[in-house]
Formats: sequence, structure tokens, C-alpha cells
Amino acid sequence: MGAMLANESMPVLRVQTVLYRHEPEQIWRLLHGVDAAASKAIDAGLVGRIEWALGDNTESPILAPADVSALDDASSSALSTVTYKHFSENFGSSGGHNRLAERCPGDLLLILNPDTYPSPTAIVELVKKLANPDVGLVEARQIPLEHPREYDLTTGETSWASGCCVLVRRELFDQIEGFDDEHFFLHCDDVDFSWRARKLGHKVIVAPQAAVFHDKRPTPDAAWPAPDYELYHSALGRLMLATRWDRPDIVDETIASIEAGQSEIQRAALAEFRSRVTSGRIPAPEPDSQSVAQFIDGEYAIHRF
Amino acid sequence: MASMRSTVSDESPAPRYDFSFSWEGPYGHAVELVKRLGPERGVVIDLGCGVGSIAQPLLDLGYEYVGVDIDPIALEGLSRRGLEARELDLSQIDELPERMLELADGRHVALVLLVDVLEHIDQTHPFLTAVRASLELLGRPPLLISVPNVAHVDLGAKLAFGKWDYTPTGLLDSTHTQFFTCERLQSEARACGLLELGANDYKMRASDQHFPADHPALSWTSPVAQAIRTWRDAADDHGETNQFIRAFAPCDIEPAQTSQTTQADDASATPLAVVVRTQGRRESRLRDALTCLAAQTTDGFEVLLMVHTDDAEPVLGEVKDVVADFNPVFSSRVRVIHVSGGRRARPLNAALARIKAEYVAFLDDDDLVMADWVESFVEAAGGGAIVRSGVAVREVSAPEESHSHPYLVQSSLQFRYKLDFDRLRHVWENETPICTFAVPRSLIETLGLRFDEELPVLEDWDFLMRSAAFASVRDTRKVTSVYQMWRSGESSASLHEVDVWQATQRVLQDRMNQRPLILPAGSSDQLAKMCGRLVEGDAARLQLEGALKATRHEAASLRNEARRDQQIVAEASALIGEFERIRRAYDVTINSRRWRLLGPPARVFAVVRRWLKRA
Repeated sequence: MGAMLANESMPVLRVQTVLYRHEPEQIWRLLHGVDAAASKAIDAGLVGRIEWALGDNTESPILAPADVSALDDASSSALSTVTYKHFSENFGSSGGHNRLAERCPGDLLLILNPDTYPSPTAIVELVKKLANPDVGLVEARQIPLEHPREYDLTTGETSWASGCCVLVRRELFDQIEGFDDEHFFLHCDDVDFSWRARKLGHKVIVAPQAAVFHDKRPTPDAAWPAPDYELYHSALGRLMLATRWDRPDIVDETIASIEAGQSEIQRAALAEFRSRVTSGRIPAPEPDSQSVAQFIDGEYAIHRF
Repeated sequence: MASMRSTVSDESPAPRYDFSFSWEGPYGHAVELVKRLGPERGVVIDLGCGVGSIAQPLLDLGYEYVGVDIDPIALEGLSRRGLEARELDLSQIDELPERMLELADGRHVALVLLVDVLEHIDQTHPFLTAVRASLELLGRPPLLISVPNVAHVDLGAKLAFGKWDYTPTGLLDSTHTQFFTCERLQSEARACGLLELGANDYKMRASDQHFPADHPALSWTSPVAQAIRTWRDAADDHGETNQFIRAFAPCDIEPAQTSQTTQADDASATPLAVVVRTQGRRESRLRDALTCLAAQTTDGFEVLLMVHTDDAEPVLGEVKDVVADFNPVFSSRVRVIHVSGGRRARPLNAALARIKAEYVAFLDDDDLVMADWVESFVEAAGGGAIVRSGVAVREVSAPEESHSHPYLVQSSLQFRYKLDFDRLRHVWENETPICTFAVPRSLIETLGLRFDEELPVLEDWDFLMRSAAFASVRDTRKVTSVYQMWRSGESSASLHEVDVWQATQRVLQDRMNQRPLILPAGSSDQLAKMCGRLVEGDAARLQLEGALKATRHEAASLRNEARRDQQIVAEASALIGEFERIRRAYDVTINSRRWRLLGPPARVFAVVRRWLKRA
């Protein structure tokens, strides 16, 4: 078990991971990555204490109390605690992270997907970048498949940060009231989160020096298999995002595309959207949204390739 | 040459051999080896000497000769030649050391010979142990052994066709009770504390077993025979060795197990060894590659991190630091090994010499792999098959020095290589980058496989094709790696000019062309379709060529017509021009003052003149 190494003058970092039907082996593997990256950050004197909080959206708990103790025991002194919370229902990624962040200590929040493995220097590099007061969110560079989103090669500045592995100041997280889990369940919550941060004047940047392995696998026919729930939430998320960021043209375009397409799943997402419109469960348009929101060729940023 | 020189007691009279000595033959090779080793002058004890074929050349070299045999007729023959001859039954191994000591009779023993003897001894290990004990008593002289090679390609080729022809003499002398390969001879010797000093093997391209010469397994022009010889050559250098002629020194090495006792599989072997090749120039790239490995869905692999740099420091220390940053669950499975000198293949070969795992896969530090890279290899491994996975390709470029990016991704993923291994397409070019295949260690050991260190590039293609010539290739049909093609920067693709790649490609194609190409079942259909397409293509080409020819002919005709027309037009133009000139001259004349004054009288005068003429 990690010992408490708190240095009160240095920031406390809280790593948060939301689980859903993941295998315990995957959690163990992630522990090894997080632990090594935490050790490097502690050794570098960049943070005083690092915690790892796991939230579980699965119907039945993935981890038993003994498993959690074993994880905690296996971690080095760099990880002061490993905690686990099984949620009463599936709150989605955004809801899970918001609940994990409630009433917890920490000056910095690292949002980390369960299907990742941070490189040993990832936390160090992310924290270094956040030392710039203009920067609100720092995203790690994903490997082996890099996100095609464009970013400035010198400053790292970009349109939005993926929630796969992103570091944010706790203060900013609270200021923008975390992820909008009322309107975003799984997809586009990170885009919305990033744009709200940018609207407050914070920069969103990519830190290429901070690598994080993200377990993505193309199919043999060169396609990217997306399970039904991803198709559903990406369509619904896009409609919600375009509504929030005051782009009725994108809403119409998306609806037309879904109606012209053959995907029953996306049609179900459209039905849900319409139901929410009827019941008023859609976000109010952000004023002055054009200053940050980008809807380009179906994406939310210019893509490099 | 294998013979049976009377050595052991036998109820039936043993045939005697009277092979005459020649420097080109196996006896000559044995004496050459003695000359090369040059043991101090003294007694040479020739155990199982028969007629003493090599006595005279040894005497000529200044050695004393003692022939030892059980055959009285052979001994009598030696005595008649004035040679010292002693009777000894080599089957009495308990007495052997003492008897050897007696016949040395206090003299310095320079050498002990076992020429064409060991293959007639029923129990090799006890006998060699007794010989080793004798050598100890005699002051540890070297031992020269000459035995026939049962793994000559002629024997293997015939056996593949169900033929095993015993003969009165030769490789399959019917009195042989033991058979030796190079590996077995060395193993047996080592097991008895005998360390090899030197070799002068006798080779025969066509052995005495090369009969019938027109057998498909033996005929020089038969594709089967060519294939068998190619395979045999790949295994070791002794396909054409007829006789192993080796010298051994008694020593105090720990007796090793014989090959017969090391056949059990090592069940505890790691499933996969991953050889990572780095020059340690960009820490961030190496860290990326290692992060991908640390994130694998299985821990059942070890990593040999080959640091290829001439100066170990500071690079080696930096690489070790990168490894040490990882969790011990991973870093404890990484061995960092420094390799200097040589080209790109040097570190790979250095790793192959260290492999203990069942399979080995390769990764350059600028390649990246998916989480199931190892798992896919391991799941598909087995049965001696090479395992191959799919790969995505993308273009990257090196960033400016001021940037800390390990590489800049310039393209989306491309899936340009087929998921199924296609041997025919691979004859043309490589579709299996080094990060996409794993080779069983058994294949590497059986064939002594190594990368060709002379090749500047494409060493992976060469290695794969040589491996795949002997093994099936099993496709995982999963895309598990990202092969990065460099637009610029430090990589094999950018460091080497295009012409080097193309030249190497041609060299390797030529090499492949010199070897028989064995294709698995199903290839015929593929070849037929390819040939069909070629034939159809040829027919279409001929048709097009015919049409082109006709068109050209027509065009030529048209050009000729046009040329004629142009000529007519030109001539007409010239006539018109002339006419115009005349007309203009006429006009000038008619309109001239002179014509106006003199023209009418001149016409009158002309009329008068014509009238006068007629009159």
C-alpha cells in the first residue's frame, strides 16, 4: 500500500477512471502504468501526493473489497491511495467522473480512460504543461493511433481535448461544474467540457511529450468497429453539442444524415433527441459560441489527416 | 571413407579393408589434420588399425607408429611391413586404459587414432569414456576420430523415398552399429570430457550412396533433388560431408549431456521473446514503443532491448534509465544488451543467439503495436509455423529539433498489405514488415537461421523468405501493429536512398531465384489464375498491337496522301504564283508608257510580217 507522502506545499493529483464492464486484468494493467507514472511525478517533485479513484458503472461490482485492497497493496508509495466506488446506476463517463470528483481532495484532476496505459513520463509532462497559467486542460498524445485533430506544433493549442487522458485544474473543473452529465452521457462530453473551458479564456493544449497508450484496434477490413452504444451516444452527443453551441444548421444536417442513413441505432438516438426537445431536456444555446465551437466536416476541429 | 577395420571380437570373420592411402582421401585428410595440429613427436597409437593405411605418412612425419587390432591377419601384415603391431580387443573396455598404458610402455604418446572404428562399437558412451580414461593415463594426448556422416544428403534424399541401402563398405557399411551426425559426434565427445581441437572433414558431393544416379532424389537436374540439397544446406554445412575427421583434447570441462538426453521440451520457456532494435537516439520514440509493450494484454513475453551503438555510453545508460522508469512488472522482463559494429542486422543476430523463448518477434523502436500484438502471436503459435499479423502503415516525418514530438503523423492509416501471406507476391516484394511476424525458436535452431548482416536494407524480407521456405505461415488476420513510413528523418526508409532499396531488392530476388521455390497446396490454383491473367493480357496485348499496327499503317497512308495533296497544292500554288507573276508583268507591260506608244504599231507590223510570210 502506498504510504502517505503528502507534501503540503505541493499539489495533490487525483487520477480518476470510470469503469464499465471492464476485466479486472485490465484494471491491474492500468495500475502498473499509473503507478510508474505517479512515481516519476513524485520523484520529480511536481506533485506531493497522488490518488487513484475508480468509479464503476457496471451493474455488478467488478472489484470485490479484497481486490481493491490488493490493488492498493500492490501500488507503490507513489500512489497514496487506491479507492473504488460502485455506482448505483450507470451514470455514463461524464456522470461517473463528476461523482468521483465530488467532495474529494486534489488540486489537479487527471481524467483517464480504463483502456489506457500512461507512459512513465506522462504525468510529469502533463503537470509541467499545466504550470502555464493560461492553460486549462492538457491532453496526452495517444499511441499507437494518434488522434488526427490539429494542434499547434509549438504551443500545442487545439480545439478540444479528448477525455481519454486529460489533466485539468480542480479549480477550473469546479468552475465549469465538471462535465455536463445532464446532456452528455458518453460522447462529446469532452468536447463540450473543453469548449466551456476555452470560453472562459483557458487554453486547451496537447502535450506530445506525454504519451498514453489507448487500446484501439482496427478490424482486418480496415474499419473501426463501433459498438451500438457508441453509435447511439455519438449521434445523440453530436445533436446535443450542436444545440448547446448554437448551430441549428448542424442539428438539421445531422438529422438529415441520420434520416437518410440505414442505422436503426442512430434513428433511435434521433428519437431520443426529439423526445428531449419536446420535454425541454436540451441544453440552452451558449451565447457567443462561435468564438470557440468548431464544426468542420463532421468533426469538432480541423483534422490533420 | 567409412570402413570397418577389425576392432572387436566377433564370431564371424570380419572383412578386411585395404584402402590405399591418398592425400585427397579421408586418410589423407586425417594426416593433414595431424600435421596441422603438430603434436610433439612420439608414439601414435592407431586403435583398430586394420591394415594400417596411414602408418607410412605418420612415420614420414617422424612419429612412431603402433598398430592395434584384434585381427591376427591384419597384425601379421603390419609386422611384415616392419611396423609395431599389438593385439587388443576394444570391446573389453574395462581393461582398455591399463592395456593402453602397457602398450605405450613408458613412451611419450603423441596421438591416439580412432579411424573408422567408432561406428562399429556397440555402446559409444562407455567406450569413449574408457578411451578418455586411457588418455588420462597416457598424459592426455589428443584423440583423432574419423567416422562416416549418416546425415550426408544422399542418405537423407533416399530415405525420404523409402530407400536405405546397406552396402559392404561406405556410409552404410552393413557392419556399422552406430551412426553419427556432426551434432552427435560433438555431443558424445563432450559428454566424455573431450574438447574439439580441430576439424578437417572429408566431403563428397556424390557419396558412395549416390545410386541409382537417375533416382529423382539424386539426379542433379531433378527439382526434388535440388530442393532436398537446398534444405540440407540450410540445416548445417555437412550435407556433403562424407567423413567427420576431428581432433579432440581431453580436458576437465564439466561433462555435458548428450543430445539424446536434451530432447525434452522446456515446458517453462517463455512463449515469446520480443527483440527491440534501437540506436537510442530518440528516447521518446523508444519510450513509446516500450509503452506499447507494457500495455500488452499478456505478460507472457520477455524483451531483448538491443542497443546498437558503437560507444556504449552515454546511450546505454540513458536507455536503461528509460526502461527503469517502467513498472517492475514490465521492466523486470526487459534485458538491455549493447551491440556495436555491423549493419542493421547485427543486433538482431546478437539477440537470436540469446533466445530461450519458444517464439521470437521483432520490433524497431519507431514501430508501434496494438494491445493484442503479443497475444495474437501467442494464440496462433505452435506446430512450427511462422505467425504473421496484419499491419497498418502510416506516414510520419521527423519534427524540428526544437520540438519534442517523437514523430509527426502525416497520414491516416493505410492497409496496403494483404492479411493473408502470399508467397508469390513476396517473391516480388516484402509485404511483411519486421514487426508483423514471429518465428519459432525451433526453426531458428534447426536451420541455424540468422539475418544477413551484409544487407544494407531489407534484411527482414530475406530472413522471412528463408524461414518461410521451411515452415508454414499462419496468419492471425488481425491488424496488430503500425509500421511508420518516414517521409524524412532517421529511419531505414529515409537513411537509405531509393536506389539502395531497389538494388537490394534485385539482389534478393536473384538469390531467391537460385533456390527452388516450394509452394503449399492451393498455390497451383493461384498460379493458374495468374498465368491465365498473363495469357489473357498477352492476347489482349497482341490484339492491341495488331490494331495499333493497322492504325499506324492507315495513318501512314493518310500521311502519304496528305503529302501528295500538299505537293499538288504546292505545285498549284507555284503555278498560280507564276501566273500571277506573268499577269503582273503583263499588266506592267500593258500599262507602260512604252507599250502604249509602241504597242499598236508593233501589232500592225506583226500582222504585216505574217502576211508577207504566207505570201
